[in-house]
Amino acid sequence: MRRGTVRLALLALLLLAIPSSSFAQSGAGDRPAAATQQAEATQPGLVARALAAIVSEQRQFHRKLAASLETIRKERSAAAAWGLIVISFLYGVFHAAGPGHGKAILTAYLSTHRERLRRGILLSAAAATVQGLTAILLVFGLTTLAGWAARDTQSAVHWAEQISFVLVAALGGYLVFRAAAGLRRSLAGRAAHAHGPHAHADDGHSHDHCGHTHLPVPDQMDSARDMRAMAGVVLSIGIRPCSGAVLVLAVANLFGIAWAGIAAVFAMSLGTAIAVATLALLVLSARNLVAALVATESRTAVVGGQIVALAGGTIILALGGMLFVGSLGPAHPLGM
Amino acid sequence: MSHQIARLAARLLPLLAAMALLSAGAERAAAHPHAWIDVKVKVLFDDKGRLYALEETWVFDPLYTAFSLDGVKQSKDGSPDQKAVDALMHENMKNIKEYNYLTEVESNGVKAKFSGVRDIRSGHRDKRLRLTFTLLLESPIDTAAGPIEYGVFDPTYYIEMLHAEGGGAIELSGAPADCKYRLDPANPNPNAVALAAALDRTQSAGDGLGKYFAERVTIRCGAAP
Repeated sequence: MRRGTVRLALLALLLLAIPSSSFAQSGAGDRPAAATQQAEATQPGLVARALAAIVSEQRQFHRKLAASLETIRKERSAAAAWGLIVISFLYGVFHAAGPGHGKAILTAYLSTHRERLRRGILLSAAAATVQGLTAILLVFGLTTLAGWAARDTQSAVHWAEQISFVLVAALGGYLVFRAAAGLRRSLAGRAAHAHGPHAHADDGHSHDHCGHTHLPVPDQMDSARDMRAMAGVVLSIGIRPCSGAVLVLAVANLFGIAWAGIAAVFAMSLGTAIAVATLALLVLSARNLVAALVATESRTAVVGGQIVALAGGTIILALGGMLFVGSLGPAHPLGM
Repeated sequence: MSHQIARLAARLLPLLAAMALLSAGAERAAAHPHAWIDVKVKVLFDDKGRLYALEETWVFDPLYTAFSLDGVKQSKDGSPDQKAVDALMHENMKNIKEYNYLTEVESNGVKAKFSGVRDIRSGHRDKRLRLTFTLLLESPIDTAAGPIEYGVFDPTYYIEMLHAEGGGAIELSGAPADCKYRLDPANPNPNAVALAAALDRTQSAGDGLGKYFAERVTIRCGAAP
């Protein structure tokens, strides 16, 4: 039993290490803000350098997008459109390669909940697609149908952002509730058969079969409730449109090349989906690898899994809350 | 076994809290420029050779321009209505006041205070909006006291502000003959960028990611070190 607990602790540690390193700032986060001078003096780490490279790469994309939109307006050639699509695709990849709210939610969910690899990819692709569709509906719905001026879409983007953050918190709350209910059932079941685990305490995890029928094993989880959580993940990420996509769409529309804008947004979504799905695969593979070390039927493993799920829900709840509070701050002074 | 679970949970919680904080900070790092402004600066010196104001001209990028001018009345040649452009830029000026006009002037480690702006002009040329204003220092800075540094940048790094390419972006007007300027391009230290990216929204106020991607201009006169 002791060995099982050690393995569980290892599992938890590894699972926590994956998402936090995917946010690419594990080294920076623990330094106080006042330590800037010190940070400048020390040798930059690999993660810090990668982050700086991504940020400096990203700054070029906006200029390239602007230039290629201008070229399409003038030439209206397939070659020019192809250029925009390639840049948009790369924009999507790089946008997703850096840390962001979608990846924070997805990695927190996937690392703390049992999902199949295929589902991880599906979730990433669905979230990226919904994000692109939101941008398209928002821009064309408001400007073409409702007759808004392009700059006024910014306030709608802000609203969508806030709705997204509320949904993130709601998703976290739902996951917490679900995990807590499961945990309560597990512990109640254990108390009723208190002799069970104690009698087998030294047998190790592989022989601890007793009571497994009393415990809700995640595999047996009601698939409808699972779908609800997945829909929550997709919606809470996807309902917040990428501001780069909104800008490109609105301007393409103004230039009379709306089709190019739509193609660009789908290319961005594809790029984002590929980058995020890669991350999801990494998270899930690592999770499965470590989970295989712990027998799934061991009581400790089941309860431990529920604690991890509870923690994952708490993280997502806190994330949603913090993002929402952050979104209450002032808008950008230049109205962007 | 419940003790083991409790111990495990107790060990996990601080980690989880740290992770939640990290993921919230992650939002900042997603910041990258969604617009750019080419900046021109005329540094104004008074008759005693003191720096008393910066005349800044901001040229907004074509996407920002198209985005902002949608729905604005146009004249026959396609240029936007001047009154509408003025109104838009008036709004911008009002909003950036709170952010010290996205300008920082520093001498001997002391940040200068601004007393206000004058001569605000706005226009539209080559599909780009333009804004010119003169930013006055509360107390003029003596060039003999040491080098003076300035930077024009958006602390949130939502807009990339760089001196216009092709020379002539910086002019020292009325400066003592022995004054020179040097433009240092942005050279972000990866650690500083990572640190700034990890900062919370509230912590980032006035000192966010943008500072690390800002150009710095140093003006030295005569024997000033």
